[in-house]
Amino acid sequence: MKRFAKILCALLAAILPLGAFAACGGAASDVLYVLSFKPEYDEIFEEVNQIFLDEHPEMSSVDYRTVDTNNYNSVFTSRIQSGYLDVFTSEVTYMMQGSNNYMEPLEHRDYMDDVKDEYLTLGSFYDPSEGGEAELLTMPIERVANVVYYNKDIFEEYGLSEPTTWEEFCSVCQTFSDATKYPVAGKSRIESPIIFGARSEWPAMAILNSVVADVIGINQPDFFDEIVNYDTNTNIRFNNANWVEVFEKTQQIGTDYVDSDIYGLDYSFAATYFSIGNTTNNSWYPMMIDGTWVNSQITAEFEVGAFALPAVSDPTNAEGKKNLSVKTGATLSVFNRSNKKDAAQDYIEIFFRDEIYQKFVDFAKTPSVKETVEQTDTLVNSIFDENKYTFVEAYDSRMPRYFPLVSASEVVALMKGQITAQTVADTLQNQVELNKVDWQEYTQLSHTKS
Amino acid sequence: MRTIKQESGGMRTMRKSRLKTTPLVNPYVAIAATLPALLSIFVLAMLPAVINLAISFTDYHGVGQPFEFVGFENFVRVFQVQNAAVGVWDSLLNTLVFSVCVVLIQQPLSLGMALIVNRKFKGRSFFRALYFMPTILGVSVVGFTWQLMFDPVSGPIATLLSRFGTSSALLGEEGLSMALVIIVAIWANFGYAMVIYIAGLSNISEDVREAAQLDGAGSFKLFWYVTLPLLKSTLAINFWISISGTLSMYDIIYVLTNGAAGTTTLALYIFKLATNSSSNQGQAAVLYIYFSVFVTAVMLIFNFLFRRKEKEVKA
Repeated sequence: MKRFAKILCALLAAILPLGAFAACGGAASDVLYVLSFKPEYDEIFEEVNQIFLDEHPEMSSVDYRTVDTNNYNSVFTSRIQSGYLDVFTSEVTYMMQGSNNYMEPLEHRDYMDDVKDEYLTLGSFYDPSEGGEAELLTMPIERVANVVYYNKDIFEEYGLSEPTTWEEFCSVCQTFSDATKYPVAGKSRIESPIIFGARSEWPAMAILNSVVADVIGINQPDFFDEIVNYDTNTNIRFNNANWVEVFEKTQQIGTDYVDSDIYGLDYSFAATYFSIGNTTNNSWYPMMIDGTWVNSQITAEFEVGAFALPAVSDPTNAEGKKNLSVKTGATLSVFNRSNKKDAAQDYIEIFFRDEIYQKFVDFAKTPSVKETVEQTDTLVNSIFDENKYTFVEAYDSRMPRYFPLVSASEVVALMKGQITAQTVADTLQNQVELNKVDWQEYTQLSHTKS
Repeated sequence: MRTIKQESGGMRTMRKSRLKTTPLVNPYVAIAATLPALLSIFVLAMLPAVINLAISFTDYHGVGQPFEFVGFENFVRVFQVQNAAVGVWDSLLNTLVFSVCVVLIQQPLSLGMALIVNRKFKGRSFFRALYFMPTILGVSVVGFTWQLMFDPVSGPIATLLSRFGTSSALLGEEGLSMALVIIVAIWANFGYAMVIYIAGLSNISEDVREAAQLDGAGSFKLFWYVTLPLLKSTLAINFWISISGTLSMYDIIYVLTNGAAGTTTLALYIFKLATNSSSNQGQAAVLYIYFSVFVTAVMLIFNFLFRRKEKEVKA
């Protein structure tokens, strides 16, 4: 009896914690786990989910989850550790910072023949430490740009046109800034020349990216390509005159042309307030700085225009065009430790079927990555106009993995005037020096084998 | 009297002998019952703490990434300025401001509400439930509700301010932002402390209060000399929970401001550092260690001060 009690107790001791941990569960073999940081595209993905389930009767469901950008990193990290991941959206920023380590090379499918070469290149990575050729690790689904949206009606009302230089941009902003203090009778009341989701902080990077694209892109066009030679090229410093100019101009935009109340505005409201003008017949915000991922959320009835923020006196580059700060935007990848890799590749293929992808392109208002699908939206096509702009990869997307970046909180503090441009530049340079060992071995990770 | 003594002595002998022969709880059952909890603590607390300690000596960047042993480098480097907007010392100061304000406002408020809803009046249960409700709402709900309230363009508070011809960035305004976060944190948690005070108050015998009243004690004297001393252990528990909770609180701040406008506490600073994929996780691990030492030190000081006060009262 005593022995029986001992065995019973031992079993009890073992079963209880095992039961507790078993309750945590594990990734199911008949469920496809999809993680995205693009909640605005849920509608399209739900359709893909349905088609996938119809064509894969062996799968019981698609566990499709979207997480906002701020939380994506932490959720993504926990998913790769728990294994609840098969397909995920990513972007170049994440790839350069390490998520390419979790990507299964995409196997060739028919839809890839229709994808434009530039996008296949953007999704391909070559790591010298691994050897071999560049591999297609992720498939871009869109392309985004950092731009200034503007209300054409208000511009017309105030007799203004699209600015083409930094001085003209400041002049436009000043006109609206004056109007906030001294409302002009018969003209729309202006609350703030520029609006953006300042409290969420990360949208401030769109402003910094735009300024970098011009100030660094025009004055020191080889800066980013030369980062690999940081140790020998002393011009590659983040506290040089060009970078201080970047931070000074970003600060000027923030302190002079953004109303202080805007620093309490959540990102999710910015596009709504920009769009609201026509519905209330009282246009408050003539300009909004954001990425083109917001296109689908701009529901204005007035005519919306967009331009690349001109941050220098002569923003014409060596190609005779202007620089436009762009990012790959979202991409689709297969988790390399997934046990449903084939199904995951099928899922991506379904997304790229012409009828589905056309819906996506129309909805997301993004340039199409496929030759067989066209974007017809005038605003989108005017932004991604290759005759007008040279597409320059955004600063926060093109830096090597683990390379210290200016944080969004620093940009907002800078724009509020709480810290100086020189402080930001010196702090960044200091961080680059301190972390050299961490990033140098990764700097050669690139899209193509040179 | 002698008989009683003899009887009680006999009882004691009998109890001792019974304990020796037939223990009230089978020791195997006792061990088995504690093992799951021990195992859980080991797996969910001790093991991560050991792993965290190991990571603190590396430049680990995440799962599957190469890393190297860097010795004590991270222990020094975390104090170097990494972000021009907010650093470790700023976040420590914010933590202290947040914690002190929340504890010092929340505790009297909770006690006051407990004293009110402990009185016998119609609808008492309704008010108790109402005040406790924010506690069960959850951080996300509380956070998003107050975000809407504090929207600087068309939120109700902004609308009210505009009636007085003024405006504010509210959650985006330096200084004010911390005050608003403190108010929301108090609002969201005071119900929990209130319930503990109600439990403490219900343990105070009515006889004691009546005796004090018969001796001529007024409301204030009754509270100050009778209720408050008898609530000492409840006060200690509530202060303990509140201090340790606010020192490590980051969720409500994360949802409300994401640390913007001077609201980054040390816990949030570490969380953001640890979940940023480009960050050196070794430095985040070091900050966790410093943070644990800091919280433990604060709680030990609290214990020391509270016990000394207790001894003074007894003396």
